[in-house]
Amino acid sequence: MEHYFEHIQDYLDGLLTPEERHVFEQELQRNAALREETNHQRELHAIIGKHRRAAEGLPALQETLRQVSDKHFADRPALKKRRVITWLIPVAAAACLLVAFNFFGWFTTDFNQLPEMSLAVTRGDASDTDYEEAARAFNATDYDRSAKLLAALVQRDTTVIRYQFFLGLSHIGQQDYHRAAAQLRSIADGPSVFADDARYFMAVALWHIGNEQQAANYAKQVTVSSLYYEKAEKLLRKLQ
Amino acid sequence: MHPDQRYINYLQQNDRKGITEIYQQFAGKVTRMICHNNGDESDAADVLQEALAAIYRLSADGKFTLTCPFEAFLITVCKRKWLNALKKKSISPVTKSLDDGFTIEQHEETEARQYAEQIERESTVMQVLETMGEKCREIIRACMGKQHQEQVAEQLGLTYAYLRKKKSECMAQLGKLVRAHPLFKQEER
Repeated sequence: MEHYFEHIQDYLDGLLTPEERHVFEQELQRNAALREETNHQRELHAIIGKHRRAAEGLPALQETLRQVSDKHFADRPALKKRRVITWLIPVAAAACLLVAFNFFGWFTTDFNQLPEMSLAVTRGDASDTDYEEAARAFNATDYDRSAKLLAALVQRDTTVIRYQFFLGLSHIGQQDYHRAAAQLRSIADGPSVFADDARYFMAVALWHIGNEQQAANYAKQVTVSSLYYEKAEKLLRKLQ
Repeated sequence: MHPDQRYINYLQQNDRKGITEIYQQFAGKVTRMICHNNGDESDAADVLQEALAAIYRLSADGKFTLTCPFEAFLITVCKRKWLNALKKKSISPVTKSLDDGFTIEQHEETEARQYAEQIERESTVMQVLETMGEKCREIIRACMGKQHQEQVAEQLGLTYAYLRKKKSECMAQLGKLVRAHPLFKQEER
């Protein structure tokens, strides 16, 4: 089955030529295992595609649900007053402990935490070496060096959003939030695959600059499919 | 199509008035079911919000057609979510039947259960995807968007050939992981 995998994906993505498609469909009729795997992959494609689309509208819906739910349940007589009092003392004690722990910063979210930069060599040209060096510097938190190398890569090839994105993150690592925001803005406002994550880091940069309104706007736009969705929600709560 | 399809449309259109109607119509029933079974009002509020978000995701491609009453569907989804929550909290089985107070016809129950199972299937796939390596997650997510894969390759700084090869490897791996999940294994038996 292994050698069929690329064909299955190309078939589902509509990338086969009419002749190749014909051959593949004939094979599908003959080969039950291939048919089963293709159907399984078709289902996965449909689910992931659908959930990606849903992720775009979900934050707005969740906000409406939260507001309607709060209003609906607030308007109803409380069922649990007695229990609340019973639990109040231990909860208050726990809250005191949390405040004490938080004083030492044990539970605070590190909004500035940067992701790992992948080292994979994938372009097959000279830029790979520079990219690898930039990635090593970035992962070793040498952001001055990674910013320098990535800036050169961006100048050489403006089409690779990955270079621009990690250049913006390097500026966050350097705590140069004005440059980070300037670098990340077009990615966060654009349609690229980095847009979602860039919105989060844009929000972080703007928050450090003191532009809380805009920071909140960017944090709100981070969709649930982003790895930074929960952090964006936390930042939003902090900003509000 | 069932006339209750309008509730699905309210969620898809993020229609506040319609969503308020959903709460007025069904929140009381969900709350009763949960309060009778080791939960409280805030649990009911959480379960209902999660269930409505899950129904939104299920119908996000615009192809979903409701063929049973929305109440049967919503209650079934809430019931399964609450049972899972109880399992996670290791709380012993329910004190009263979760079906108390609801009259759901047999055929409606079957349809509602099928929809709820589909929600669980989809949610499992997305959870399994989250367990994969960062590179695979990035490539799969990027390739399932609206953009052409050549554009995606360019943005990621990959060659188009590498992207296709890697995507196919990652999707094969995802397929294997999903099949190995107890929910999907159960179906194969």
